[in-house]
Amino acid sequence: MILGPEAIVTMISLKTFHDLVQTLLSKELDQAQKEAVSAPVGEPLFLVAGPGSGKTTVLALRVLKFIFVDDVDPAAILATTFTRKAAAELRSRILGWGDKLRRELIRTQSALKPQLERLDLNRTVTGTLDSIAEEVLRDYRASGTQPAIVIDEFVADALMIQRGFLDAVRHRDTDLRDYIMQLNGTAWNMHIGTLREVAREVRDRFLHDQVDISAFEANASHPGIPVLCAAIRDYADALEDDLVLDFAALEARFLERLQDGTLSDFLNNLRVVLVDEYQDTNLLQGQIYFTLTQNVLQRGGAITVVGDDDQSLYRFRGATVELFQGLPIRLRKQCRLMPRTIYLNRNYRSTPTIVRFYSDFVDLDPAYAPARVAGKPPLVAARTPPVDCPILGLFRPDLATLARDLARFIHEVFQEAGVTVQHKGRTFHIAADPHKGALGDCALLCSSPREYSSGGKERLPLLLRQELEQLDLPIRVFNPRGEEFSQIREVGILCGLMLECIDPDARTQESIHNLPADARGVMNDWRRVAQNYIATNPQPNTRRRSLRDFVHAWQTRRPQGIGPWPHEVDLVGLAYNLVTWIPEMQTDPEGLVYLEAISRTINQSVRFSAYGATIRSDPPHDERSVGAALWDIFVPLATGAIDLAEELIEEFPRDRLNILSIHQAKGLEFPLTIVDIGSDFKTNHYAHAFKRFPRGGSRSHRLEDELRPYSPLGAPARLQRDRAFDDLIRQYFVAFSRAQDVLLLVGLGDPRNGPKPVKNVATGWTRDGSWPWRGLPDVVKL
Amino acid sequence: MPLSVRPTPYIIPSYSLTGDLLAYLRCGLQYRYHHRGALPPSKPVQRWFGEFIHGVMEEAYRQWETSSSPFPWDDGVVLPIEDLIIRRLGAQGIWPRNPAICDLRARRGDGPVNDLAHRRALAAINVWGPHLFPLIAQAEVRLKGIREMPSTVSGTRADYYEVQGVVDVLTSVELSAAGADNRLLTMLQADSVVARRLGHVIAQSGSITAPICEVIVDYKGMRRPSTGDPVWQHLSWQILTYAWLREQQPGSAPVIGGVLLFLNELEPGRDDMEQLWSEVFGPNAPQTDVVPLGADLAALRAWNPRQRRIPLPKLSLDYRIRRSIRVIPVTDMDKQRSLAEFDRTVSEIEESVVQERSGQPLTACWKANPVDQTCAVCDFRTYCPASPRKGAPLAP
Repeated sequence: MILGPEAIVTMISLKTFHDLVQTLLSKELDQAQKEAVSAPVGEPLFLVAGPGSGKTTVLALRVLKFIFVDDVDPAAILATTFTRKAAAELRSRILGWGDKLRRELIRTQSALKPQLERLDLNRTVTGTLDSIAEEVLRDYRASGTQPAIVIDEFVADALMIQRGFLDAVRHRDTDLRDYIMQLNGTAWNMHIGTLREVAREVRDRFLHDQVDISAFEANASHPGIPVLCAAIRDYADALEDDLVLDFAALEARFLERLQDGTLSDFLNNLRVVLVDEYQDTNLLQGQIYFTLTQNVLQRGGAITVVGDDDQSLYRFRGATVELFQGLPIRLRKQCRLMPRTIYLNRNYRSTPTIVRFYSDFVDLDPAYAPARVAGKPPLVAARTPPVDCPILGLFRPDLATLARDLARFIHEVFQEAGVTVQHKGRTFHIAADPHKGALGDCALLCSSPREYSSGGKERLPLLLRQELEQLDLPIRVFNPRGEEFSQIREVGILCGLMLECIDPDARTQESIHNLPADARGVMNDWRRVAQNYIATNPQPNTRRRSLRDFVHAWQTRRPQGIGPWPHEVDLVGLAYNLVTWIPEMQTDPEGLVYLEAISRTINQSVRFSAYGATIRSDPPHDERSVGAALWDIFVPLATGAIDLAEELIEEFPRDRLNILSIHQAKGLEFPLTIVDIGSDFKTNHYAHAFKRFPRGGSRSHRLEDELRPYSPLGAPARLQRDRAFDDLIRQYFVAFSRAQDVLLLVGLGDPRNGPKPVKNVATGWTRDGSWPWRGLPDVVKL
Repeated sequence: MPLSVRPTPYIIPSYSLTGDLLAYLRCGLQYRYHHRGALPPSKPVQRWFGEFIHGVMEEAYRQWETSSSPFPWDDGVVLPIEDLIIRRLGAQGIWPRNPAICDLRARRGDGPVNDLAHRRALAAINVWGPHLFPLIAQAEVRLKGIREMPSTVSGTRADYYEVQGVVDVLTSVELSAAGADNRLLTMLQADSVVARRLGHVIAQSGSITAPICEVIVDYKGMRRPSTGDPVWQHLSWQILTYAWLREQQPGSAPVIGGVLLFLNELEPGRDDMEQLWSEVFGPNAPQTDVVPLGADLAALRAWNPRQRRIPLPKLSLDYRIRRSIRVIPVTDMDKQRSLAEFDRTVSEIEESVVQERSGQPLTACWKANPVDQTCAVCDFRTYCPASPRKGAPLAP
């Protein structure tokens, strides 16, 4: 432990603080939590926090302890976490509990009153690393420098396509295509969207892993590498020309400014740094935290790092879990700090049976042990529920039966008297809370919530939704990522109507020969959907003022009002006009999310599209402006370039069944958690091996092997296949640990006695081909 | 066994004074669509100009701070600042889309630049820069505070709400700097409440040289609202709440007043002039607190807003300057009143959130505020239940 030069000043004693936490905030801390909260300002901490171990509470209380006990200025505290939602929750705890403590102390400790009245908790710096970087670069901008303007992912994608590929016709380069095929491990789907996706991932990794790009290029093992590097360079130049940054460049700029002294005003204010979810950090972010740490050391402060290697899910976004495991060593080397390790291993979320299940699961494969933090104690169930239900399993021979029986189970739990299960002579009755229970207490977690596979096959989320909708009392599902954006009914109606308006009979669309075939197909589908919708004559439909009349006026460019057809008309305005006939986009929050995605796409295209998302009326610009709209707006919308941003989906509705990917479920918990462990396969076919029992690594693992030799990280210590197995174990550990009261596993086949059991990590297979959990003996099959 | 009820995350909702509260007061339903949702306006001219003039004034101050170039500044200095801000806004996807306001073609070199944005930027810098910039202590000051959630909200998400805002300019007022020729200070001291408050602060501090109090200055890319317009009141609540937030911060001095600079008034456009005309000669006139007199009144009277080819009347610079500044005295009682108003606003918003979460249609949860001027340019006028323009739109 290193103590800084500043004398320790206290506002209230640690004992008084803990008494208030207990009496005023009604928080009972266990020994490890108490130690973590109480550690002095100057003591670096490494908190290994298992699922449900109360880490948000610990972090918030540690911040408040700094403020109330150690008299640290709130503005000198910086706390980051992984998602905006988690950051909002942490901030809310700090502000809410902090204000309660402040008022109580003002009431009881008159000597502190003047100091407490001036205490401004709002100045505590909280957020995601990216939001804080953006804020600091803006607030501490030096004269003559540009503010950090971060662009949407969709705009970055468009820039990569235009400047990286199309401008120099690199998308036709055979070497480049061959290299990307090699990275992808397949020749499937080699269209420009895939090239863009890989190029952006490589570009992010260049920055995240601090890759020596010239060395990588100089030692190119494939002729496609220099072409890819050139595409990435042109993309980076385009960002610079436009005064904008993508997220990776934002972090790189932040580190640069922290190190070159231009942010000294910000740094001189800081005294403590707290980082949550460190297991999903990349090298660049790690360097930012270390730079901040080196700085706060001078003022007697330190860093607190929280995370859990078993819950690292974001390798595909550049996370490097080894940075968490090796943190104590790195801190010692770079900052001469020896952090104290505290294990938060008491689980307050799940029943003892569920905790035991996922605790055993993560210990099952001996080959996974070296990938974990050494010396990690097992999880301890700290909750004493009235009933401790066994783990349940629902396995059926085919998808239709599985969906039907799962729908019946959900119906009985939430709409009927409940479901009764017998196990070891005991009876367990599972039902929703009669007063406050709702479908929002349940979630189905899948590796992907998509309703169709990439090959167009129906998946469990689709069949389950259909079964639930057919119930006497239909159950609605909330699955905003279930359908491809382009396949959503309302999206099809609006986009189809717009296309019919601006480009009647698809004249311009058909004249563009190199329009991607998949986009052309989707646009034609949209047009058909729109024509059928017009035929329903939706309201408002008074005489000569119907949707058909409106579309016809557009198609013939004959205005319905007075005056000539304008020189140019903007497409956002057209979209809003058409929404007059689409009530779901006016009144339903989910419909509004779709409208937001479309209108934002149109609006963002203004910055790079030749006609700025307007349709001109003067030849030859009339046709050209339609062509530009097709390329810059409708192709991205049709080909899946648009994702529904997480923040657009505000919160999970209580009256619907949630269907989420395991990644989306991170940080959440559900009383009844259904985990799909195998509805996509009932044989050992190689095509889906990556989802259950990998034969090798995926693109992310291959990229690590390609790039890390040129990064300070060095080549990965574990083989690609091992890393793929490790990632699957982590994924299902996260899924299982979301459950509070009941964990239900669902899948195809009979895990007990099939003739040729399917090898699947989620059912307890280990990578050496053995199956310690043969037949899932502790799972009660429904 | 009854399942537990899924705990809802504890989130203190955060409200921006301008982005949330003032927007909601204008129209609740429009606020839901444009602000809580992220529907971009189809005619973003007003938003663009607001951001543009803020950016220009901030950048001009930064350049003045390092170079201290004497005023007046000419096109050679101001146009590059404008171009930089236009590029920055473009990078954020904000474009003017109206050549009368900002003629991008001329700015690319196709002709002389004489659009409204440039004329206003030039006037704002040269009229207010010499008087304001020397008094600036901090620009772009971010303020945050929490307040207890009003008890009137049933089933709310949290027991507090966070309120935040960005003050364009904080001036530290030193009496020594209060030269007789400083237009801003002269106008501030002409307000009797501000002058009294200043005297009181001086008496308490016993010093007349150190920075003893602060004044909040906010740029507005809009015309001076009519005194009958609710916005007139809302803007004073904004300044008063900024004052409260500022005074919560350690190291702040008492805020004695606020200044709103309505920068459109320095170069009024046709719409601005038509509204001024109706405020002066229309029903219930006068609807403005800065009425024209003498030659200005005569020029306005001689103008006919219905004849669109007639050029706009020429109003004197002095009159335009007087219309461009509004002083808002800050007293404890006024601050409390404005906070109470915003508490009420937050309570209405939270009620709408609760209703929306219960599954009711958005149009039933969020209160529309049909005001003809707002509805006329509203993107949702054809389906807003309260809109006088409800019904099928006309193409295009």
